Amino acid sequence: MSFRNNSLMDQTVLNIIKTGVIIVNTTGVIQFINKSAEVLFGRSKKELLNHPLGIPVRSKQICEIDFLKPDLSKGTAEMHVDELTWNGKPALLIGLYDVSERKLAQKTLRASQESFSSIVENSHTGIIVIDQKGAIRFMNPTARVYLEQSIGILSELAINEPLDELYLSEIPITLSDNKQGVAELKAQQTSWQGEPAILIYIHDITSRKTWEKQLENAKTAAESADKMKLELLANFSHEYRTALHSVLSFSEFGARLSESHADKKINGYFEKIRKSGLQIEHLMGNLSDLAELLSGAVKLDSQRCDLDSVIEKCVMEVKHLQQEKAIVIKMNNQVKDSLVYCDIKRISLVLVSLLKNAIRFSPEKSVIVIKLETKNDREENRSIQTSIIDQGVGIPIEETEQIFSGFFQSSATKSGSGGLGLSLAICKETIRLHGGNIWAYKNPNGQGSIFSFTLPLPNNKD
Amino acid sequence: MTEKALIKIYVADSDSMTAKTIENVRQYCSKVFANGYEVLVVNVVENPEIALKECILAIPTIVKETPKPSQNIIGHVVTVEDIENSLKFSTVGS
Repeated sequence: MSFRNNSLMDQTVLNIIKTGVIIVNTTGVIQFINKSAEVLFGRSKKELLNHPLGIPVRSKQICEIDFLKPDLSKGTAEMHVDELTWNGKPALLIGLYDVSERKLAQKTLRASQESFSSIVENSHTGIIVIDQKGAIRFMNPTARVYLEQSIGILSELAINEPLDELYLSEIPITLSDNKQGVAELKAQQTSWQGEPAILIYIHDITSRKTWEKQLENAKTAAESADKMKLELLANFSHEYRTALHSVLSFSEFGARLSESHADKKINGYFEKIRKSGLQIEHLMGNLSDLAELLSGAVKLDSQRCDLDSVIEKCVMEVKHLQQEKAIVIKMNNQVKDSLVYCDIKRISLVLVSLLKNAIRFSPEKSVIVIKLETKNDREENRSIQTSIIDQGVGIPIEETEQIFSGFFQSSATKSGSGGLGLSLAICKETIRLHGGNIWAYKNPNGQGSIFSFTLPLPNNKD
Repeated sequence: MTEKALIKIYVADSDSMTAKTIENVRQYCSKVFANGYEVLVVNVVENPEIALKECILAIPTIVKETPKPSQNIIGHVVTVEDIENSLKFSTVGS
């Protein structure tokens, strides 16, 4: 190649091209420089001509070179070198293609890739990418440790296609101390280098599993302790009642004998012993009933019956109490057909308990309403709701839950006689066994309480 | 030729290409300068005043100060032969 420095045409061409062009002589001194090269160096032609730049490295490969501008900023170019004759003397033609922006972009990209890969490489979650044939395309060090002995799991995943949106399972893993552990495996569709692939996360849940197991064991232990307690209570109250029976019988004999001897004082003592004994017997009876219900030993003797007539019989049973206080009991039956499936004896006990409570806490000459209505929670879940509405003292809102928990007496009724606590707990357990609900609340339309319970209606096909 | 050779390399980065260039210069020196040599690496980013004083335009610039005549080479050196070829050209015209 040959150039003459007085060829105007050549110099014009060299000045308009984007590539920087420099010609140096055999000692590396700049003989010619075009516009683009001036820009690359950040210096004028005047400053650069006859400046000793140096002999460019003559490599077979593409060689990169940086330029130091006067403000000390740097540019990078790809350098091509060729021999030529300049003004009749051997010289070197240096072509410089500016790659500064590309270099900067590469550097930024590399830094960002390094950050991301450091996150993935150091993550405590195992991360794997497999292709659709089950071949591993990527695996971080954590996954490598976890699957040391169970790598086969991955090929199963690839076979199980099409994969759901998110596939979840638990797998055995090897922990870093070589112990066995459990991990949660999540897999989802992804793409890897333009092809569909499966992205898998493996998260160590060994310690969570251990806690769950301990919790489960503690729960079982607590439940069995609770059951034992109830059994003990049931046995205990049975033993008590036997002994109590003797007290009751002998106090009766004593009362009878002292009566015939006309000893009024002793007779009174025996009567008091008998009354207290009866009260204890009633309490013990409730206690053993509740213990039996709670221990799950009770089997219902259920049959079809008309709830309306069951209620009628229960009202008869409390008639003497009702009359003592001149209380009126009204029926408000809004149900066409009140056929239910229940254990008549036990439901009667619930009704009598609720009625006795209502009478006990109602003022004289007040009204108690028994309301029957059908409830539709859902189409398939119909039930009959029985409500007993009194005009008594009412229950404070904060106690409406507690009164069913047993051994609890409402602060509003504490002055009344005992026994309420256990009987409501028995009601609750009985209704629960029937698949119904029981609750109480202060009557919003005036004074008094409303006690309601539901009994599920039999399905149409029954 | 009794004096010790002095080679200065002006660099800006500590990347692999720069390391390779320095390594190649050392290899070249140990091959050519039987009386011993010294290679001085100057970082122009850390010492900009030297770069300005010595009018360094390209990085890397390799300056053979002694033995005379002084010769400059610019660009990364991929193989030892690259240095030999460049210096060989430099002597053609002189």
